[in-house]
Amino acid sequence: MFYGFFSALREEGVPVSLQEWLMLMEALSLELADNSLSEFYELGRSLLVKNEIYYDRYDAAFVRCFGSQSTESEKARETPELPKSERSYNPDFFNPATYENKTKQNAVQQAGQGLATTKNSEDKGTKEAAEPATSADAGETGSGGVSFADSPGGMTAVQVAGRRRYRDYRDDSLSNIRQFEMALRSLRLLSPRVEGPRDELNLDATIEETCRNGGRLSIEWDRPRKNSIRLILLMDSIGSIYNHHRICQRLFNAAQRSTHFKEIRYYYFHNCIYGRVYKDQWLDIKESVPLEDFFRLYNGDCRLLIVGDARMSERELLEAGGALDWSVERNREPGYTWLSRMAKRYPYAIWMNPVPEARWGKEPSYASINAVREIFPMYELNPSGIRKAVKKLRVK
Amino acid sequence: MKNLKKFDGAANYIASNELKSAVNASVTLGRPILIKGEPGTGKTMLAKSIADSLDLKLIVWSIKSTTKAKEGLYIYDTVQRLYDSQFGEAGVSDIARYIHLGKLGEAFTSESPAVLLIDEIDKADIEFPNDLLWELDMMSFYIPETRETVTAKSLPVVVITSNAEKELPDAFLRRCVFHYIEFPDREMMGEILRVHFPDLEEGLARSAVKAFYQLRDIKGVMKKPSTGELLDWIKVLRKENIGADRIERDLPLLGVLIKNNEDVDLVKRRLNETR
Repeated sequence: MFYGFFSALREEGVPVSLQEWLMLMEALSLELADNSLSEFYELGRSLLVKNEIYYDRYDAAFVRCFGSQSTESEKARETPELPKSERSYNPDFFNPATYENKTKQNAVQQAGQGLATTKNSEDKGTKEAAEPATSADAGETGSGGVSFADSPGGMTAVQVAGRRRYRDYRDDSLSNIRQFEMALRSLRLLSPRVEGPRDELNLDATIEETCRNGGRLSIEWDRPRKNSIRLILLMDSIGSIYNHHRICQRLFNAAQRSTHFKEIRYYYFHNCIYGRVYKDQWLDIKESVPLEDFFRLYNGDCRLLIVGDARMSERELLEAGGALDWSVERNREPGYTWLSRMAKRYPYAIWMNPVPEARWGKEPSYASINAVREIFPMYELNPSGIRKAVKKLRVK
Repeated sequence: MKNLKKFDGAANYIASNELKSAVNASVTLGRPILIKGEPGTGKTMLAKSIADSLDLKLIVWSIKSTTKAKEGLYIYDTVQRLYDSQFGEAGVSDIARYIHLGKLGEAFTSESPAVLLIDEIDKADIEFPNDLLWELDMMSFYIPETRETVTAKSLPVVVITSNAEKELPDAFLRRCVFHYIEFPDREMMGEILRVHFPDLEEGLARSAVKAFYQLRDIKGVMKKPSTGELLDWIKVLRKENIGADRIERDLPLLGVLIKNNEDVDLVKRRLNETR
């Protein structure tokens, strides 16, 4: 039962380590959970989950593992099956005989309103199989099973978990703007202090070392704290991307607000990149830069962050002269060639895509995403995607 | 239970059940507890409340962007030693005289167990939490200058707060008990008000809380008012003798709650719309 919880947590994507799991076992053996499921819920959460963005997944895993427990009174009487490995760790940590049964009646009543009522039918099936094994035990102790002591709100732990009230803290949902801004702050990771020459006098260290040296001067140098990273934001600006303009706008705002880059530049393109990029988002040709100049202007150490839905027709990507805006340019080489050239020039380049990852390449209109993905590492444009992207931007 | 005493909130601090359970787990297991949450949810106050409730000494280590992990352990006052040596002060050869314990060292050597608050750990350098791993794990550290090991006489309760300005390293997180303090709901806010103002009129409390949550719910407000600001607001409202009926209607003294020009404009616009 508990081992199942561990794997359910991992399946839901909560990064639980063995160390934390052992900590929970230790806490249980010290009877910190007070033999009630709601206390177990709270204890488990504080020991296993280390970031509120995982609270919702924890709730989901909890309901999955213990949801059926509160729907059937018989289920509560059932002796929890422990995997052998856990028994050997501590044979006493979960002895059903020590658990009280005082509020079982409550559990029965609330079972009717419980959230997993639909599971009733399948539980009945498993119940029959489990019954013979447990009846002897149950007769003797007269109790056993987990007690479903109420939490103050009059809800069982499973009901509390089932409310899923931490849904907004999940970082793959976009409902919460604050969450999004917080994730963008991780762009700060871009500021390493491992680059650049040591050319700043560290006064404290100099005094310290001089003193250690018995008064003979010893000068200490530091790397300045300045960030040497230059970021280029290259954004798709017209067409299908418009469906995602709000989220792109947020990324743009957050990037503009960040002051920690040595240099940050904004350029625009339409659907696919060909011979030139534009300085304004309405793609005014007079305000454009040919890529040859662009490559000269920005060296290969620049970080390139491309934002676009990578939704292109085959023609646009693979054929010469396939560009959508004929008025602006007739590309002599296909977009694919230009994109590859770009990736070669800027090893630190990533592509952020506002289209949900689950749909990439799955639908005909998103088929082109797979082709672009082969050129640039691609991440979904959401807080967790940005975190991954920032990590990628730091190394080649 | 190993501990006889159990943290159960304090007279002037309202803690949710989840928080109490997390604190008790941290105390019993001897692990640091990491507290996160919106500003103004009482992260820092928690340590004081634990100290009061368990009757322990409180030691506060406020972290700044320049704080180094070693400063929490001990400081070797080399400058003083050099100075003393030039004037032939006696005892210069005794390094121990120039070793001063930091806050962590103080908590370790305290005769009675203490509560150590490491406040706003995310302000420090990104490597800071990693530098403290061993010390917090083993509850001891070594001073090379004096070849001395300082070991905790009694395990301190370590409370760490973070505003999530920087990500904390996984290795550090694995060793902590974690709790995220949610913003209190109306019911809990009512309780908090009762604790702070035992003689507050029911009507005033109700309309102030209602107005407060309406403000927080307005979409687009950049900096939402926090609990501390609500408490200030009520203090001022009472001083100015403003009745409950006026509070919801005009939101008097709005500047106490909202401190950003654009937000004030936005709130006023909304207020006019609903009229």
